[in-house]
Amino acid sequence: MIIPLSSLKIGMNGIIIRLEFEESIKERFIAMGIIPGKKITYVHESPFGDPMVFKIEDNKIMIRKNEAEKIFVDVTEEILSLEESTPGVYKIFLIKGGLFFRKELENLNIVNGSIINVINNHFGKVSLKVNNKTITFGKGRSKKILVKKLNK
Amino acid sequence: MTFEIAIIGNPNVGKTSIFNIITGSRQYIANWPGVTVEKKVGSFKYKGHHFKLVDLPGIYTLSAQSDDEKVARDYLINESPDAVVVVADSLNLERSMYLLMQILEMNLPAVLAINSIDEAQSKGKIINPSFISKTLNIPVVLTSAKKLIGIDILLESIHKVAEKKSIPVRNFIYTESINSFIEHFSNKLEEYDFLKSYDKRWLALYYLEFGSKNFHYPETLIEDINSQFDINKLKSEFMNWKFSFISSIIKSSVIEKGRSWAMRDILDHVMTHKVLGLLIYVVALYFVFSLTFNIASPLSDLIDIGFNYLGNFFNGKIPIPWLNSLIVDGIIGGVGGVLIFIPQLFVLFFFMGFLEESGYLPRAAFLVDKLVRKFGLSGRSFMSIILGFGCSVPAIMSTKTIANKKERMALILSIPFASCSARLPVYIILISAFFDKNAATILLFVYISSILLVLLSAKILQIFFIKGEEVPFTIELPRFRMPTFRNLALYSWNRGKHFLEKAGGIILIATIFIWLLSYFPNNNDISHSYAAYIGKFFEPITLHLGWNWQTNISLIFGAVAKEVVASSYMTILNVGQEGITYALQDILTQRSALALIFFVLAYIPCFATLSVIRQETNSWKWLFFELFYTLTIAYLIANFVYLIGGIFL
Repeated sequence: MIIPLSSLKIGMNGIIIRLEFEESIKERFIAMGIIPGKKITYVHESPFGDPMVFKIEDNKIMIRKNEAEKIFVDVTEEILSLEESTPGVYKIFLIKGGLFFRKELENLNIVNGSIINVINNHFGKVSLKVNNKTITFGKGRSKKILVKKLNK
Repeated sequence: MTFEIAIIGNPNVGKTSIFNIITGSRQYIANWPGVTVEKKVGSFKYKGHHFKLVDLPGIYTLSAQSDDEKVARDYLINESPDAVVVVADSLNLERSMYLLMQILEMNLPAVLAINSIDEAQSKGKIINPSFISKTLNIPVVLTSAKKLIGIDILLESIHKVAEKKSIPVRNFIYTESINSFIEHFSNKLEEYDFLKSYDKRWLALYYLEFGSKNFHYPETLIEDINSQFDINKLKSEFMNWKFSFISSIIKSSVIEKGRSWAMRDILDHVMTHKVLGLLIYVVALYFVFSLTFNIASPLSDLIDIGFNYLGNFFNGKIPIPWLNSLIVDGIIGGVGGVLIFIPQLFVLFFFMGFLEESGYLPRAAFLVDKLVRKFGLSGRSFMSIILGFGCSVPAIMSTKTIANKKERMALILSIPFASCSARLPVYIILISAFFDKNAATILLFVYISSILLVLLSAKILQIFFIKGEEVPFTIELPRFRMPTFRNLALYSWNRGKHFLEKAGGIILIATIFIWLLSYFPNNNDISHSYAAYIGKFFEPITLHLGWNWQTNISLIFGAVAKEVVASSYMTILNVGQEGITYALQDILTQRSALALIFFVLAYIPCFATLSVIRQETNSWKWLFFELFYTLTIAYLIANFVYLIGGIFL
């Protein structure tokens, strides 16, 4: 699936496919190492959501969102937040948020890599099943949990 | 004879460290003609030969989009140096090769220095320089500026290349269609006499890479080429050729174990964290601010006391009254006025240098970029603006590392609106004379207006007055490094020296000029001096604000330094600290005092600031623009405040 770099979730990576800038600006990005065919990973979020820091080879490069919108990447695995999920089986990819939140989830047996089963999603209020226990998260919390869809 | 050597490389590869090691303290900074890019030149001796080393700006490409790139490209085309040292980062070799290839396309005598080799070794990365050297037909040296590895071999290689004169032919095997393009292009070039002196292959490749805009290709040539070839297709073919060529070199010459990000990621995670990161940023700002202005201030005070003592010592020793006053008030006062900046500038440069070299500044810029973007600024500007609330001189000099020249220019001209600490005494005597009850509110309003003025001015200047390229604000977050004391000392020393040479003279001359205005024609009778006449001359446009000639003179003297407005009032009104309140109440109303406070906030920057603006913009034009611009804005604001004041007071 090809999506703009700006739509990556933190921790997600993709292969650079194309840059949709005018020639001179495109050349500058290429000279900085944003080269089609290379793997790029979104690693740091700014406190105000913009700009974004990406890892590419041995570099970390900061790109503003409006420029990241014009760089397209191919993502093999789609990662979304629990808030956006539809019923189905998912694997926990990343839990954003503080130590306490993670600790709390750990007590519910939700850690990176755990398998969960989303039962329903009512406008962001998500009910899911882990180890035969049903848990419900509000919108705010389900936004902080990133998951990867598993194909049966 | 002297060999001229250029040194070039991507940002953050340790180019400056290598430059410092080779030249030691035999270096100076200047400006490239016509632009605000800093030029660093050093010299060294090797095996009895003299070498001049020119430090080109840190860039990723020679595309000539930004001023930095233009300077580098024009230098390489026009000055044809005897050798070009390309500094690459051993942990980032592949990217550095891109710039190197562009240098080789220009057929320049290059030497490749692969730096930070100690870091690569500790990460288990092995680089085989001889393969790269054979493939590209250039000397390749593994160096470490930190551990002083390979510097002798580098010098030896530079010497050899510079002495050889002839450049080894490098016939890269391009694809067939690129070759036929080069051939056709070169043949066409024969038709134009003025292009004969250029390297034909390079012009062809340069056209392929950057199109027709960056070089004065003749119209007829462009038409011919575009009708014969599909340039866009060829261009991507050329790019692909280059990438596969570079990666084949890397594959055959580099062995690595994989990357270790652990430590760097943890540090970055903390520094860019929305709570911790911002906290660290505030602490860093506080440190730079308080170190610059608090640690340095006893030293500045000492210089001040010293010059006062010197003045008192000479006072009366010279029998001719005007000469006595010129030496004591004009010259000694003026020199003192220059030197008083030295401690804070050195401290500032030392710590700013630390933040820059350690790699913290880009992280700080990342945190706050969004906040100032609406005003055409980037996160990097934020710190300079904050420094402006201490003193405009170091704040303006701290804009040096802002890569976008348009943004930097707007910032240099807007920083004087940040209310520096010298303005506070003026606010205080006016507020305590007129607004004793609302002191805090008024002061708060002044500072809020000040921030708004800086930001709006930066935006307005970029819309209407400053031309320049629009380059995306995309920067690298380099590896963290421990800066060496030697580099920091050189960094501060160079800039301090630059300030004394460039700005010192202007400050001194301006101070003597103001002295002339206050002393003549009636021997030190300020009320009947030229300054008083000027003050009276301007009364027609200031009287409606309630400012008589005495206020006008004080404002004129305030150009030396803003706090002088307060002391001038005392001199002119002939009162001391205690009497000033009543004396001011006699000549000003509440409304006109309020207007005056805002005028002092915005009107002409002091001479020191003006001369730093001249130094950093490298032009007199911007100095005079700034004078006119700030006076206009200040006058408009003063009238506006007076009007509004009429409603409330």
